[in-house]
Amino acid sequence: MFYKIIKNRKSIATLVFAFAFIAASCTDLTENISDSVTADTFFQTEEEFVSALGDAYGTLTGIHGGGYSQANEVTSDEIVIPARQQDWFEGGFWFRVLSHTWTPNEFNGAWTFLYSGVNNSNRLIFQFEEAVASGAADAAVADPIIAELRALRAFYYLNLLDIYGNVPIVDSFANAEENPSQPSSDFQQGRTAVFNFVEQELLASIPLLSTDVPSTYGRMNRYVAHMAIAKLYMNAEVYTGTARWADAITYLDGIIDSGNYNLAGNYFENFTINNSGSPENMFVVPFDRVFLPGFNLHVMTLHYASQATYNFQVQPWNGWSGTQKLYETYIDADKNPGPQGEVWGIMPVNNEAGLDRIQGTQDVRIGNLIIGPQFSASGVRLKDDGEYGVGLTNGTDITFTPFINDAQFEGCRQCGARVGKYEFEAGIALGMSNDFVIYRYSDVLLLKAEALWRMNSGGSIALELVNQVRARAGVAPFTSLDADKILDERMREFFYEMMRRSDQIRFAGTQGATRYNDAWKFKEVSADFRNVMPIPRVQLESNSNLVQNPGY
Amino acid sequence: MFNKATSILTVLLLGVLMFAAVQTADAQSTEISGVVTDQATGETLPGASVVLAGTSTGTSTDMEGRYSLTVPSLDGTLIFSSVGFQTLEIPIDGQTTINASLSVLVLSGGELVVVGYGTQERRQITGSVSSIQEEGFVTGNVRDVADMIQGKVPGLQIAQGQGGNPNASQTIRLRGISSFGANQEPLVVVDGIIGATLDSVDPNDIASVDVLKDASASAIYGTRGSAGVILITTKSGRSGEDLSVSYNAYTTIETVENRNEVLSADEYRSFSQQVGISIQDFGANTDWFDEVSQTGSNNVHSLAVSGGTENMNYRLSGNYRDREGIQKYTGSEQIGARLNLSHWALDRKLKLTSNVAVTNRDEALGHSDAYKFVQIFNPTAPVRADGFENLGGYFDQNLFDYKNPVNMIETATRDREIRSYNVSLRADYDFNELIPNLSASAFYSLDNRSVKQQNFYSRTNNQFGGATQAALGPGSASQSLVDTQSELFEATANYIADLTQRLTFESFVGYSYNQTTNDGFSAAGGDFVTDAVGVNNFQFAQDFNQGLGSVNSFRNENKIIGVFGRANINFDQTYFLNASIRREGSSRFGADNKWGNFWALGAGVDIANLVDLGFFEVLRARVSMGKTGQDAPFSGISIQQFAPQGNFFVDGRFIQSFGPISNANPDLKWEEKTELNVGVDFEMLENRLRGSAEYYNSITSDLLFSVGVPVPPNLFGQTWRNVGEIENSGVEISLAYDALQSVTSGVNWTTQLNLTLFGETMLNKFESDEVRLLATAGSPGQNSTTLIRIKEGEPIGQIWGPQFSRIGEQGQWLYLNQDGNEVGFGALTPDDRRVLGNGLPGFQLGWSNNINVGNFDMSMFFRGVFGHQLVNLPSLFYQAPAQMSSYNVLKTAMDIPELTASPQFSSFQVEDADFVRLQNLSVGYTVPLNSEMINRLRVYVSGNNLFTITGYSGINPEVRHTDINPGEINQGFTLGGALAPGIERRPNWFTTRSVNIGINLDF
Repeated sequence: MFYKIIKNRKSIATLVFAFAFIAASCTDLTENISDSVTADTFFQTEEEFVSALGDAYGTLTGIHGGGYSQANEVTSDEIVIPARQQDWFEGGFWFRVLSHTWTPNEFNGAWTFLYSGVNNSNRLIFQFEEAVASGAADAAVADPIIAELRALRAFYYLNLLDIYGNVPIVDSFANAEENPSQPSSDFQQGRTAVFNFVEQELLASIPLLSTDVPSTYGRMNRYVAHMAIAKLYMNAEVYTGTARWADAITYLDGIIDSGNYNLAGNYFENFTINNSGSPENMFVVPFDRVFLPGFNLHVMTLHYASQATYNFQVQPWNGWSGTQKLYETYIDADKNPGPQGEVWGIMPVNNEAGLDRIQGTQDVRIGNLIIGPQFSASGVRLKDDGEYGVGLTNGTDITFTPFINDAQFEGCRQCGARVGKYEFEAGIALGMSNDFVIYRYSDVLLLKAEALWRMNSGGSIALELVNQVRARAGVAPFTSLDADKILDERMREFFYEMMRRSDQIRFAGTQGATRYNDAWKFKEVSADFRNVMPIPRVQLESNSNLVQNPGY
Repeated sequence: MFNKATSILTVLLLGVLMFAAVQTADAQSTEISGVVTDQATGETLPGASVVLAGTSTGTSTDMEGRYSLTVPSLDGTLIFSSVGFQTLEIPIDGQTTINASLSVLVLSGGELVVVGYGTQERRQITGSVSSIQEEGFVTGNVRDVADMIQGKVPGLQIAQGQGGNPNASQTIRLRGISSFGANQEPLVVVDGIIGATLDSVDPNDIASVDVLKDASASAIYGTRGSAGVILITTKSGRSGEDLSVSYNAYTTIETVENRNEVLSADEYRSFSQQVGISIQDFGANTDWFDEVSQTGSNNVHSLAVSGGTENMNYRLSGNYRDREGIQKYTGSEQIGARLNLSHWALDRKLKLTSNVAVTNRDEALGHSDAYKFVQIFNPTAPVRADGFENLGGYFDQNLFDYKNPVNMIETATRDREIRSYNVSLRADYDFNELIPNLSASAFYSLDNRSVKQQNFYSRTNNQFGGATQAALGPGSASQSLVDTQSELFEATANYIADLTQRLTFESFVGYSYNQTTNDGFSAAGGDFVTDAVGVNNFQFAQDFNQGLGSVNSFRNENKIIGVFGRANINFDQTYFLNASIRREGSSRFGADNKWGNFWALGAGVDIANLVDLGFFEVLRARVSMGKTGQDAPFSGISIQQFAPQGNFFVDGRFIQSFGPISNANPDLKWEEKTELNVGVDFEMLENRLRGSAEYYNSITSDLLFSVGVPVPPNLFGQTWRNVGEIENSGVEISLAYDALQSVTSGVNWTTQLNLTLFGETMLNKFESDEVRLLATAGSPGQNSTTLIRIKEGEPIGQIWGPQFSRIGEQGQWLYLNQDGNEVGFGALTPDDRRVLGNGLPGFQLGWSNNINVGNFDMSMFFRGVFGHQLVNLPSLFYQAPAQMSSYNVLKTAMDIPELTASPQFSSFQVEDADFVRLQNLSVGYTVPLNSEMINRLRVYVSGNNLFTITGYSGINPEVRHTDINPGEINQGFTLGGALAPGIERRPNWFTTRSVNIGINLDF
């Protein structure tokens, strides 16, 4: 039978040909994505370059509310997030963070936030360099942009150095290793290498950076880079073992002498909804509820019922609270001398307000905290329609008390002073329009004062600088400086500006190695290895070349 | 591109016609004619094949069983054959009229089973294929095909994790989990349309469902077959049949079968006194379950008209379904129509088939969250009260994660509209005259589905409308429209050769081109001046004026191209060999790895043909092996893409910044599954006991998953990679027994049992051997509480946490640590956690009984699933008596009055969830009629989900194959999905039972 079939080979050939034709003509599998662009279709115009630059800054929108603020605020003595029965319990997560009993599981957020910034900077530096090399862009235009990116990358690395210590230095996009390792398996050597890298990058980029302050709002200009390197030098002893106070003063003076910044008349001018006009803010994330959402302090800190105070579109989460110690640092007449008057007390009591009025220092900056009975926008007393808290006597009327009964399981829902530093805009949803302050001129003054005090135990210049800041807050001048005074003043001034952890580590402790290791409410004395965070477990898992920090 | 495919179709059709024309031209010599009949009945046999032995000369009979064949001389032998009949050879011996009378093939196993691209006789199948005909379907209140075959196929798991949600589909898993990053549901093929959706076919239009279970059976669908293939064949008309009309209708009453019982108002008051917790007593007695619930109903009507002439047949059907869900204001309304048309031309050499189906479905989705809040809303609170005007008059309290469920369902709407149509055209041409038993076909289909979803939350809505007691909210609205269009072009050629008397060779080759386009548009905004227009006019949303509204659109395409072939060898009707191969490419994969090869081999032997086995009438053994694949889950997955990345502040204004949104992976390639299947089929006791047993073992490698990668150097911490390997094995047994067959008394009873033993789904390899903890319990306070562990070398689905010991004297939770000592929460270390259960079952049972007594028929179907555990999250969040200070609690709180601590996860909330359910019971009566007009009238009553026997205390013991709450946990590892089975979450619908009354009427 077969031979008969073969006789018809002409027909078979035709069929085979038909199939071959189909198969050959329809095997194209090129991917066609119509709604996004790929690398070969981008970076062709100058606008696209500037637009791309934004991606390196875009990372900064993660500065609030994520791992970065968790590391710098919740682990310090400023902020506590009590587990309010079920809410915020999170399997003990926040308690481990605030009590310095964390494991390598808790600190991946800051790592990915900061390294995203590093990566985006690396990529853009690479792309801009390529553009110059290929003749697509003019070197004179590209060089300041590349310098700006290097300084921004140094800012991210400064924070990596501060939080994690010994981290991989990845400074190239094209030649990045798949699994980068730290500079040295010896923690201190490695950390010194990261320090040197940050210093070198900032020194190299500073001369090329813009000095035009108004046009570089929210970006790396020369003074912001000065501030970054000053911060690096202020903690140089922590990072490398060698103090660099005089170098810090050099760069702080560069800012002061430029005359581009000065203290705002009103402390809270720096934190209003439209704070972009402040003469004091040097480096901000220009959040906007429409164009750049991501700043959500209002929901992070306020009580569920506070929605009615501001008619927010969303219910707040009743989380982040200022510590009792923080509040006492404002009102204590000895620690903070100044005009005395009635202020809210500490403990809840069974009166209409839920708190006593007591005598305390009238520091303008108490406004950083929201304390006392709470009302709706129309003046109706807010209620928490649940029990006040286990073992407490107050009713359901909401009063924010500086006192917090428990942080681990049974925190009462209205305990804790709330973060009121930034003005809350009525009627908003999740995004606030206030620009988030990273560097501020009053810090230039206080850092310089501290550096001077460190070098020669004070002197009139240092005292005068501190008192400039105190005078603006309406409190009495100091007559002398010591470590407590400087650190407390920094807490009052910079509460919730993401620098408390770093400040505490710079000062020797009374019980532990540093102030950060000392005990405070809900926290025992901690070991000094906790002054850097562990390399996150997820990072160790995905990159076998990483070495865990000592002690973890 | 697709113009090319359609033009190819045209070219091919023209080619087919030209061949036909050429071939009919060279006929001369002597003609033989005759009639072919069935020996038993004497009826003529249309379509029987007549071939001159040893040549390519042949023909087939017409509608009257007549043939005429031109032969070169009056020598030789004619071979007559027809499906289902024994082949007959008659020497010509000079005759010019030869009538043949064929006898029926008595060998069993001759029934035709639909397999990929065609049909095969049951006995020739060497892989694992389950076939369910219409009479085997689950009847009653069914929504789609999944409901109809639930429990009927060993190895096929169909679970309704969402209880009585009228708009939720079932999850379908074949032989365990074959993928966790890509598609896990079997491929659905409806009348040749690959990748169709189940709800585009009305259950009333389905003639049979065939499930290709193992890799050797599904390998012909290559790249999309690794989760199995469900082949759906719709009903069609019969040629030469008079017009017949069939009408089916039923009406359903649906009520709550099980729900989480909570404290009544009185119990809330008394229990709070008992445990000394102060509560807010608002003085009312409200059953919040009742407030949001109603009795559901379902009214279904189906009308079909079918018939045919000598050269064509047709079936036209219309279906209407109107369902009201058990949550107020939920339900669906569906109208569908289908036309199946076949036409023969050119002496029945050319067959043209066209199917057209249209479905319109409108759904009111309701609010799952309402069921979360009915569990905890204060039972002493009134539904409405004065002073809550801004909330539409609905009472509310200022508590976290706590909303009035009546406000939720009455001040918001969530609607979905699904419009789908599909069209397929098929041309089959018989090249018998050119080469005997050669045929070719071309197939084109267009499957279009558009889904519109509209959500509206009014200004008085407290969930997303922003309303509080103090002020009206801005309200919010969103609308999305997603359009999916899939075009498929396929060309195949079939060839059958009787190489010798005993050896038959069948083969086919084909080409397939499939292109899918997705595009969509969505808008969302709020801040309405009035609620009056709802979602219908976004100009009323002031958000857009302030730049706060959002508008999005997308479009992407993907292609799958394949060439494939299959060969079957049948030796002496005793030994069978099957082999298939498919080479396929997908546009989604990395530039270096777009193509893959998928193959299958199988062998079978009919032992009963070789030796006399006494009481065995049939005993077949078969073994097969195959490799299938799985496509990537979405387009663009392997390339780096750039997209807008928020805004950048330059010189006092915001400009849009662009940046990458994904890591690239040019090496991304197919998931591949290799499966071994061994099976035995038997019939014994004079065919009264029939059964099969199968063992399978499959290994899926190169699993696609989004895994953590180091940052730096990667831009993002997650990249899609081929990681991991999982292994499944199991035993499936299917038995059917005709327990009673009495011709005299008219009593028949057939019972059928399906058993499946599932091995554990082993994660043989993963990205690394690190432990992953995933699937967090949720807010409030349990966002870091992981429920599931994943570890290389361990089974998938491990529920992981601390071991509960008892409630301590101070009312605190006490646990057993790794050394067996009792410790409190603070002393627990991560090492004290252990495996608390597994969410995947070990054993599944389906037991059906069909009984006929005279004109009565009855069917009863039990389904059971065993060996799985569930994490009962309602009990985690709502069982602690301390919650009474704010919320209502579950009734089970009264079992633990001594507990004062807040909720904490442990083995306390992990429960065995074995269950047996009476899935369906139905009793019908066929009215004896002596009517010229009415052929058949049957009325019936049936019930679905009538009772469940289980020790599980939650709402629904059904297996949760996939976590409904996928997302990302803060350790940077993707949670949920198929890696986190076994979690009952809080926003959960009740389970329901339904009772139907129905009628079948044929004219």
